[in-house]
Amino acid sequence: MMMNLSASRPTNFSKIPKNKLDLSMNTSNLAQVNAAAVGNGADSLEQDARLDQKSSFIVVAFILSGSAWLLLGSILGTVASFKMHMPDWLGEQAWLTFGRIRPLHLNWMAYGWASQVGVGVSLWILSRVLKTTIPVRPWLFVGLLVWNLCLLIGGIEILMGHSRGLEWLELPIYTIVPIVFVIVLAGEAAISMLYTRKQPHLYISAWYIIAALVSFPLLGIVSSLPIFEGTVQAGMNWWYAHNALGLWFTPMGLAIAYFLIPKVTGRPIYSYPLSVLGFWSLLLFYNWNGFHHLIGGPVPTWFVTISIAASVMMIIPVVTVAVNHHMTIIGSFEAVKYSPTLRFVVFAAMSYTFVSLQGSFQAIRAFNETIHFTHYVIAHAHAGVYSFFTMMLFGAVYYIMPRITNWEWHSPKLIKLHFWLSASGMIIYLVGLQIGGIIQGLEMNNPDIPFMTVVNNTKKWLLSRSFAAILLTAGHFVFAYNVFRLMHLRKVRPAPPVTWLDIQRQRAQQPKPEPVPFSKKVANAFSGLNQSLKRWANDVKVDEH
Amino acid sequence: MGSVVLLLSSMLIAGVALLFFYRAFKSKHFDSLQKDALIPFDDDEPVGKPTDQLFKDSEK
Amino acid sequence: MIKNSILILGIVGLFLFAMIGLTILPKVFIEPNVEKANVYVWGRAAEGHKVYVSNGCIYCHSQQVRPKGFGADFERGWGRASVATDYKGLTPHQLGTMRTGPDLSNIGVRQPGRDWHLLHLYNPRTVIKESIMPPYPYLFEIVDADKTLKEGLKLPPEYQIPGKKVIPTDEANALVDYLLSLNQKDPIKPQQN
Repeated sequence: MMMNLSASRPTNFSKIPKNKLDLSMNTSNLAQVNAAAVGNGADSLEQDARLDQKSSFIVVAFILSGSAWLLLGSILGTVASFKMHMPDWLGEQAWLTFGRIRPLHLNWMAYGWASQVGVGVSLWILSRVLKTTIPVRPWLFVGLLVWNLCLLIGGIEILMGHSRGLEWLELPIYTIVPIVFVIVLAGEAAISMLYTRKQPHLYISAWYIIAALVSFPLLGIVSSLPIFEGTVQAGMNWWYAHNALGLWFTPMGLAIAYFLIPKVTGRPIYSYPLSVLGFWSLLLFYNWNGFHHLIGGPVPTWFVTISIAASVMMIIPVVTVAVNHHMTIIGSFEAVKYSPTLRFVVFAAMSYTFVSLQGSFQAIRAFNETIHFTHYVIAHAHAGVYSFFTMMLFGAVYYIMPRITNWEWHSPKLIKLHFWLSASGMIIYLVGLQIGGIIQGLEMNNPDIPFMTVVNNTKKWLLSRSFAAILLTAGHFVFAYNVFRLMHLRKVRPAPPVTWLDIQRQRAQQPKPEPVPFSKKVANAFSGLNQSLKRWANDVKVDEH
Repeated sequence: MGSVVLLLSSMLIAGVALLFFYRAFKSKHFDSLQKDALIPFDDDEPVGKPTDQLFKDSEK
Repeated sequence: MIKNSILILGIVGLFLFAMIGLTILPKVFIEPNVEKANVYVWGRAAEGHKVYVSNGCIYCHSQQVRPKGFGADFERGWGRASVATDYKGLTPHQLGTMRTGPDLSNIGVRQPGRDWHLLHLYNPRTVIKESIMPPYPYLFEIVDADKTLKEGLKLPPEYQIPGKKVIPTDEANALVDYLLSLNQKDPIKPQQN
């Protein structure tokens, strides 16, 4: 997609400084910066572009950093998946054993990819809905470096066998605490935006983002306290892990959906009061779900029952979100089809409805009896963190990056490829492990079936998961390549740089192309195929002589 | 004993929540809620115009 | 327009409410009973618990037996319903959430033989052909047969290494002690050599 634009540059921010981190900014000119950025009745897109120019690099930094962890985490996940049906593969070394690779995959994906890109995207969305710049915080860049260092060191510790031993909390405490502190710094930036905002009303996305940034540090601190032992520790473990999903990832994911779905379709949220109900009911119920991971376990039954009740009550916020998102989308299929962002976001939003209702079902004792301890739970976990949250992040990155870097994605085909790899990989993953998990559960609950038979019957489903892992990993490399090309193009293209405004104006001026009728498209496809076949036949003939 | 504690505490919490809700209602918080749904939009990207239609532009 | 303070207060309030319910209240209700219980893990079994944690056994094995009538845990001979006192003083807990492999709460009763465990850890397929459990050869040393008087593992023919013996390290022995101590019926006993 070539851009053939003359530089009709309205302002002086075409001089993008080489080093976007302008450390000369001190607090004394911060007020001026903010005032200039938000503007005096200028073009809104210009306003937005200026917002981005001043503050965007931290968002880019988080996105790039998170994407690197995505690649590492995907490789680890693929290796772990293969090890489950090929247990002797890479089985000699201690640092490659399944019991260490698997938690590393989880931690690097959760606290590397998902959390970092989540923070970056959240800050950007907050700045848009509050109509204020992300405040200049040089220490956030240092914080990101520290975060990465902690993940690296924590990863080495896990591979060396010094895991903390709690699921979702394997990273050593001395690495978790700095990460929590960096998130506190990001939270400070977010809360200061609340106070410098030019938009008096808080949009629903802002609510969710603040909830996430306030909750996660509390979670991190409490889970690091050395006051828990035995089953009480198990309770704390699952209170933490479930809240990491429900109070950290879910709110950030919903914030993205609530912003991008209206923004891209051009239609406001179907029922804003419903979204308020959804927010508060989510906070009320989600917090209490933790013990549904311990159904049948050595915890007093009434604790577990509270969690089951809360898990079922979650249907309320989930349905409100579903109604809002889906009613906003209905009638805008074209907008979904033509927007790379919305492709991912709608897939993610539908997955959210699915995975949450699935979770409510899993908490009910009758169903739990079958699927507890099986691969079904792993499918559910990935439906949440991947099919919902990761796809939501992909959609957000595809929306945000062009607007920050002022370049458009160079290859829509590659974006489509990424989407189909991720979507098909996830569908195979979920179908395979859900079916496999239910069969595994049913067979395990039948004492006449020997345990080894149960294990043998899961092998083909584990194999399907490995196939899915390859698709997903391939998709991630395509995504990383897309991001890399965008960043690279930014530097390679000669000045003047293109602004998002120019792209919009050019599109408005171009005459609408004649739509190609479907029959013509089919005819074109066949003639193309015909030509290729003829050429191949000719080559074969030549070879034969 | 446990159930009495639970019942009383949930009634207390529900009462507090209703109090907050009542105060929010009285302070006209809920009067123009649907207007907030328009916050993501502005003059350049108004209601009714889809944005980010990258795949459409590439079908040339 | 919602005040910033109300939003943040609401979030923190609801969070603390559930936190107290799910972490403090259990502590208050459960711990006094656990303190009184007379079970504990000590000696080499405690070291073995660390090896268990360090190698991530929890990701395939659970250590919590569900009550009779809920699943087939009882019928499979995995034990009685687990209670809080079974986990006295255990940190990090290893309750587990996956049963790729069987529950281990009573593995010391079901597999009381030291040699079986050592073989199984060295390579599970020496004792169970179709197992998908990873091997742990790094918990063992391979030494020349004539350089040591220690007993090597009695490996099946296809796993034997000519001229060498496979000797368990201290880690392997500790882990086996831990596994052999997993026994719901009695208070944990230390294992003799």
